Formats: sequence, structure tokens, C-alpha cells
Amino acid sequence: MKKGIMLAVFVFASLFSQVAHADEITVAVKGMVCSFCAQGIKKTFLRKDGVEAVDVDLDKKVVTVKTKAGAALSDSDVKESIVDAGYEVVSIERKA
Amino acid sequence: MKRLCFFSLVTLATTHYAAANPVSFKGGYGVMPAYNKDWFDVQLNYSVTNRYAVGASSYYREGRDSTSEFGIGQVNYLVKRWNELDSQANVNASLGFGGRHDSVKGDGVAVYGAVEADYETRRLYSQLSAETLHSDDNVQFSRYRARGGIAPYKAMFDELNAWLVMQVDIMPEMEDSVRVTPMVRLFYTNFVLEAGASIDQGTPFVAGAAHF
Repeated sequence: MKKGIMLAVFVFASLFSQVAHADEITVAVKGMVCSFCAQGIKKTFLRKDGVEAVDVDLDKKVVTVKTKAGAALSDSDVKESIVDAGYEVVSIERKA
Repeated sequence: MKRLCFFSLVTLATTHYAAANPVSFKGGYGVMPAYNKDWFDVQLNYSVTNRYAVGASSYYREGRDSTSEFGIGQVNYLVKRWNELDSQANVNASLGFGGRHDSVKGDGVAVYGAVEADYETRRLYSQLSAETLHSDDNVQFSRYRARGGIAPYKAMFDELNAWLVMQVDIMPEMEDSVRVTPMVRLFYTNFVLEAGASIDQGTPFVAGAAHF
């Protein structure tokens, strides 16, 4: 009985953690030299449902995207947003 | 001859990209007004993709003999963009068609053409552009522009970004046909403001841009 309850708790907890975790995606981008023009990157990402916040670092040439809990943003979604804003993706890294 | 051909191409295609690229991001709206004592431009556009935008523009010009107003519907096209880690360069072109009212020659049909090339890093900025408005009865206005600028500091994404820019305008049909204008160019989030005055006449220049 005790084992059964523990198993149920474990299963519930893992399900919950899968649904609730948010991603932090770091995208290295080419061409980001103008803060006015790069505003388009922020606007393009924020139009997507699953995006919580976007930060642009012109020094490091990276865009950091935080997704909402449980939301998924694929690499192709990320690439599409960067290209729609007029820039090129160098690399994409993810932190759960 | 080659030089003449190149100059003619630039002339034929020719710009009024005062403050910003005429194509922004997919789904973005742009507003670009520019004011001088004897000319005024305003363009509203919508970027259908990151490569082309459609828009409507109004141009006011005080020539030597008359005053003209143009209403133009136009397409702006990003011909080529070079995205590098520390720089970006662009070539844009615009074509438009519309109408004109001239204080002496009355109403007529008008066409608009422009080309623009720019290169910038976070500290350096340069731009060459040319534009022409042609209409019935040989009413036409052209403008050839060169710009160079430096940013005194590297601004972060959400900070006020300041540039010191020198602009040279050649406008053969205008009274004051060559103007050299030092100006300050400021970015803050999705807004640009430029303000200066020409060296010889002190003619004020104000331009802006916003993307939404």
C-alpha cells in the first residue's frame, strides 16, 4: 500500500514537472548591431503564445527567450522568428 | 562611361530613407516622417515579410518655380542583406506610383523610385541613397544623399542610443541645392529621432521613425 502511494506520488510529480517546466533558450544571432532594428526580434518572439520574455544582448550577440511553463518552442520556431525579424541564427542552446 | 552608367542607374532607381530601413520585420508597421524648410516626407508602411513592405507616402516640395505635392503608393524591397557578427549591410529599393498636384502645372500622374545602401556596426554608420519623383509636364524632384556617423558609446538594447551624423543632400531642383547637415540621431526602443541644421543656411532638419 505504502509503495503504491509512493509510486502514485512519483508518477504525479513527474507528470507535473513535465507540464510545468519552462525553457530558457539562448540564440546566437548574426547582424544584431542596431538596437532600433533589433526591436523586431523582441516583437516577433512575443507574438508567439508560449513566450514569456525576450532579452537581447548586443554585446554578446545573443537573444535569450524564456518560455511559459509547459510551453514548447522548437528550434524551427526559434529560427523562424529570427529570420522573420531579418537576422541569421548561428546557434541555439537550451537550458531546462 | 561606366561611371555614367552607374550614376544613371542610381539616379533612375533613386530615396527618402531618412531614419530607418524601409522594410522592417514580418508583420511590422513603420512610420517615417522627415521635415526640412522646403520639403516634407511622410511614409506609412507594412512589412509583409522581412523582404518587402507596402506603403503610402506623401511628399511636399518647394521648387524654384512652383510647389508640388505627391501622393504615392509604393513597394519597398530589401534587395540584399549581409548579416555579420559585428556588422550589417543592406541594399533596399522602392518603386511607387501615384498622383501629383503642382501649383503651376496642376494635377498629373507621378512615379517614384529609390535605392539605398547602408553599412553599420555598433559604432559606425554609413548610407548612400538616391530618390526621384517624376511626373507629367516634366515636374520632377531628385535627391542624392550621403551619410556618415559615429556612436560615442556602445548602447545596450534598451538604452538610449546616440549618434553624431553628417548628412550631405544634393537636390538639383531646389533653390538651396546642396545642404550639409550635422545632426544628432537618437534611438530609444522602437523610436528614432534625428535633428540638425545645415551648416551654411542653418536650415532645420527633423526626421523620425517608429516600428510597431
